[in-house]
Amino acid sequence: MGVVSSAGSGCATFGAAVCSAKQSFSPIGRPHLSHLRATHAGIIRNFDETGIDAHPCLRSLDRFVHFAEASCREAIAQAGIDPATLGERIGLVFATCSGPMQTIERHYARILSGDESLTAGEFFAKRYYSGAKALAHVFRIKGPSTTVVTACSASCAAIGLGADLIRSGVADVVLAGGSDTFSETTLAGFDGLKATCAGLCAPFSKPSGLNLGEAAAFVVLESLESAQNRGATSCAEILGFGLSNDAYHCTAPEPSGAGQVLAIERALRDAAVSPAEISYINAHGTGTDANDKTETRAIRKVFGEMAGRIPVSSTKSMVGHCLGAAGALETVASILCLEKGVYPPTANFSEPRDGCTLDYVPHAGRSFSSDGPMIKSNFAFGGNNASLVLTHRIRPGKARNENVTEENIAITGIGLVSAAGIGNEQFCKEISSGTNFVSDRIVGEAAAIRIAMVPEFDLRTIDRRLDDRGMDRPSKFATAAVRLALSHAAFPDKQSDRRDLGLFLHLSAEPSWAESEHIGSLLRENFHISQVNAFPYIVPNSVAGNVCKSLLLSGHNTTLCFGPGAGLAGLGFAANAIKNGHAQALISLSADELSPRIMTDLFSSGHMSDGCPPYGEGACALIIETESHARRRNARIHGWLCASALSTETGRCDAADTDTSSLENTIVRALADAGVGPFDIGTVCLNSASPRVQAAATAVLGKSGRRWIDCSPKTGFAEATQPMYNMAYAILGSAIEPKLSKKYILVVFGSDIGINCATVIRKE
Amino acid sequence: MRISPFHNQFAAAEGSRAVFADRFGSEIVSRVSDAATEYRFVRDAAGISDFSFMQRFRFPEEKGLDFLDSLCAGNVVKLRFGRMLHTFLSDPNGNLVADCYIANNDEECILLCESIIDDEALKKTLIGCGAENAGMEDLSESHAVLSIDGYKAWSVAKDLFGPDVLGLPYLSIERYDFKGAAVSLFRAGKTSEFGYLLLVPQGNAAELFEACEASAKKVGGGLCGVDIHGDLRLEGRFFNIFAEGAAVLDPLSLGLQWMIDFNKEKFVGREAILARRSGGLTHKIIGVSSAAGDGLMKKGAPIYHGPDKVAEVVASCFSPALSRFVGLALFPLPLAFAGLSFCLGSAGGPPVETISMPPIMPKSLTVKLDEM
Amino acid sequence: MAESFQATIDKRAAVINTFKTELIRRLNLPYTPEDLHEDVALLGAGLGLDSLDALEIVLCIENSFGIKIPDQNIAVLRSINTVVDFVLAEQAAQEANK
Repeated sequence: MGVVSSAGSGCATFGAAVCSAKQSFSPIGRPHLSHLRATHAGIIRNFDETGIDAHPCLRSLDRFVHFAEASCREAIAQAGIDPATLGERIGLVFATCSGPMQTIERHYARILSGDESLTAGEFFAKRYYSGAKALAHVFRIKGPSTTVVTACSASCAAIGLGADLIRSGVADVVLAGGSDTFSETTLAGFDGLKATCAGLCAPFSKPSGLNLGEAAAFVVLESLESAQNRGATSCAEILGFGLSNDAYHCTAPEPSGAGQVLAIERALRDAAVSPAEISYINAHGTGTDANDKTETRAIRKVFGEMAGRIPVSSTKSMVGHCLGAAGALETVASILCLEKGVYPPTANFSEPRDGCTLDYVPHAGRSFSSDGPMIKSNFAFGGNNASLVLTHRIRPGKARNENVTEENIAITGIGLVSAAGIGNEQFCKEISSGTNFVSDRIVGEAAAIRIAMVPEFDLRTIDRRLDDRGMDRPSKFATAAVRLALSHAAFPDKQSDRRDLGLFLHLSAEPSWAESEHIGSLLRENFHISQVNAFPYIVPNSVAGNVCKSLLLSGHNTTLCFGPGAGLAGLGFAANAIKNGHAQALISLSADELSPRIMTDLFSSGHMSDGCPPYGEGACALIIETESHARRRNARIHGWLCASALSTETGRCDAADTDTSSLENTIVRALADAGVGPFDIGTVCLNSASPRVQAAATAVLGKSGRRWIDCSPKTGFAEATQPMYNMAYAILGSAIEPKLSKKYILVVFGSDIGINCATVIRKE
Repeated sequence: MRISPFHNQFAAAEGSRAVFADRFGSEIVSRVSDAATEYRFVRDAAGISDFSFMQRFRFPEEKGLDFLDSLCAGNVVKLRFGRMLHTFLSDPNGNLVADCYIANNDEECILLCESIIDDEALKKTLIGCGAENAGMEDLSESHAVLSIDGYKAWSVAKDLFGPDVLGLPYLSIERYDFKGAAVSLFRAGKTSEFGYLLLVPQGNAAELFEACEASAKKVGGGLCGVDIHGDLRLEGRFFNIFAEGAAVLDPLSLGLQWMIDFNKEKFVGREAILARRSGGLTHKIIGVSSAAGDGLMKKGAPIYHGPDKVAEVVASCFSPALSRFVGLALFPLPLAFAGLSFCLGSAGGPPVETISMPPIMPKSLTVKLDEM
Repeated sequence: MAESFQATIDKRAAVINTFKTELIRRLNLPYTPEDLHEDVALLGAGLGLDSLDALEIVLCIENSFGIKIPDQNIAVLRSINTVVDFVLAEQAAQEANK
């Protein structure tokens, strides 16, 4: 484990601080913020810059990367592993809420003063995926990597997703955790929502309100067998996890607690642990009225009469709300306290608030009386709920992969929104026609760029029940794509069917409008809050939140950021969720938008120079199901997901390697996992504008005898969705182009930051 | 006349002073004891009223939502499972016919109407629009409706169905078991205090009534007639189709635009209403208040601005909360503003002011149900 | 006397129109200003706005009229008319203090 926080850096210091109920807040003391209600925050002082000195490429990256690097270093050292020796068998699941927000804020400040410039390096630094990529480079993590961006529940989910990679054999070791810095615009955002505390927070007690904190915390996950074989010490065991979506509101938790209950119950079921066995709950416990009351209600619903006897505490009472880092930080805090034989306390607890009726461990150092497993829960904006079941007493022997299924995974529905058309029929027709959807657009100082935009459409034309009022464009594309996919799959419409339907959203970039609106208005008005309806939609998972709310999806749910190629990279994670038994049916979705801000940034940083493909936008949703689930409902099966391989190139901090060996290996691995050879592949989908990817694919497959598909000349290059357009066309397009009928399809994507994915699909 | 399923219970109620009447072909219990008592029951405790005058229908969910969407003015297809929509049904000329609640109860949807036409006429209208194809089932004979309203109404609901009811949001529906029967509980209410409607199978209605009455008495409440609801609705500025609704008939002048989805392609009376809307309003309902006694403030009373009659009272009652008469009057648009003073009854009559509504602060507003 | 009556109407109408226009814009309401009756409930019933919208309304009033609504003052936000009453009263008080 590794940790960097306002309560101390390094597990020893941090552990001592949290066991003693010490609140580690300091006055924010910045004059331009003095009018806000919030006065204190858990800010990291005297951060040790050893890591940046050792890796100068990190200097130009956002501070959230610095924090992450420091805590990863400690975790790796404690685990006694050398990632470089693990090749592609070690993965990384990073998590963040606001990502490089300090860098993003600085860029907006520059824009307001008239400077729109952005170098390629600066572009990278303000992208959410910069953290994972930089860490992969610094620590040589060559396996699957991703960034969970589900706001306040992100790193709780990250640990669970990391455990899944190990359980299903994708990786042997996974570094999982999160990082977030203290951001002034984020503080102002929470202040505007009246969620902050004037003074020091007192979760479950008085006064109400949260304090923000900044931190990074990472854990090294490894299979028990692997750890035992090399004689490593284990601190805790992840028994199971569960995710859900409230499908209710962008910021307020569903008041009955039903969404939170789903996550907790799914975690218990995944862990094969009954509520009666739980000995301690580390709560989300932000200190807001809405959270503390709803969380108490949810705990009562799950545990019934036992609820009053289970100690529940909030680590945020000591370190504040560390957003994306919270889940991992609080998990580490719990383990450190339990190791010392005490329950983690809730600090600053005087009298319970109305509606808070449990045992909140108000005093430090209360001895730990039970050996049972504990629960860690976090609940986020966008309705993303996550719950982990873990134990600090490792259970000998029993293998924990009963939930892993060997079932085949079928693709039963596809929904497409693109510049080339909305809906499968129109899309396929336009791709095979001669029409060009790329147009010219003026950006900046009358410089022309070529882009392909999705034409305006009304969501109601796709389904009368949908309402796109107030939705940003990625949410609108995403909702349309999912609705179309559900229709294509003839997926039943009943509320009971949607309850367990999962959703994985894969992104390259965060939504644009809310960020410009919120940060822009704060900077222009000296941090005076003039509106609150943008802030909730800054977090990337708000897009998924909109989809879930519109379509009543409360299943296994997360949002992942990979950078370009996200749709394909994420499909592997989505399939892995089904493999691990979290869902029988799941929607794998990606969405992109071209906003004026994004286009200007892409242009300024040289992404749109001559020779680059024209950029595009849109969304693609795939419905994937276990074979038994599909057959039970007589679904039409369009293809089978045979294998997915994902790897990360680690040679450079912010770019792909110069050679193609990693790409080639990834393709070879996918073919091997699928049990096919190059000669079985009838269709290859790739981003043809990348010579590296072409070269790698040709090297593995040879040149002739198959069809090569790249829709980007028609659809434009939609960063996350591009490989999915290609895949969709390969699966659906044979009705129009007979040559596409050979059975196996290989979909490859190699991004310019070195995330490589290869997927093999067998057409039905 | 459709007799009230609770006729005997109310007739036998303490004091046996219950007054019955015929309202659009349904028997209603106008009054049980007296206005002052019934008012206090609702504002301070819990009042149990017979709302079986409401027409009630059930539809299978899918076809039902689509049918009701083509019928009523509001957007019904967007109605989420477990939620209710408050909207209205008009005739093809865009005049009000019924004040409707539509509830999405998973496998089925339920339509509850307060209508100013009788049962036969309403049913004929629904059938004319395609209700039978949508699988309509008339629940008038098979089910009864009770209303629980009041500052402590939640306590009665909790007694009957358990503490989970406290978590029901406003305008939602939940099914509960009552002595083996399926009762639908709607959290609605038009008095500004907490309010619940209970749809109960006829066979269990008597037992449910007893349980409700007993529970209401525990918190100092009791039985109410339907007349007091007119006063309570007016005080709380909740639309009452039987008062200002029947008098004015035009949903736009009545300020019911919030019940309408103007972007919908189809609902009965759509063309007429849209035409009226684009032509611009000429009149609007505004709240009025006067200290004048002796029955001056009553339906039809004229209101003068100087020598000219400018408006007419369409609904009124005495408000115990304000110790004044309050009402609604139809004013021409240029004068339709709160905060002005006019004369009531004649050019030199006692003053009557236009006021912001709602004029009272109900106790229920200060209660956080989820902390009970 | 007649001017005073008309002046009262004009003053109120101005506040009503400003508030309605801003409300429609900020909350994306599918209505024109004329569609919004001044007595319609804002939260819960009527327009059915939620707690996040309530925060937005408070900021709307602050920005449009420079008037702060004290926390927890739910009475003010019940309808457009009650908001307008509050704004007019505050404006009158500010005038009186000059």
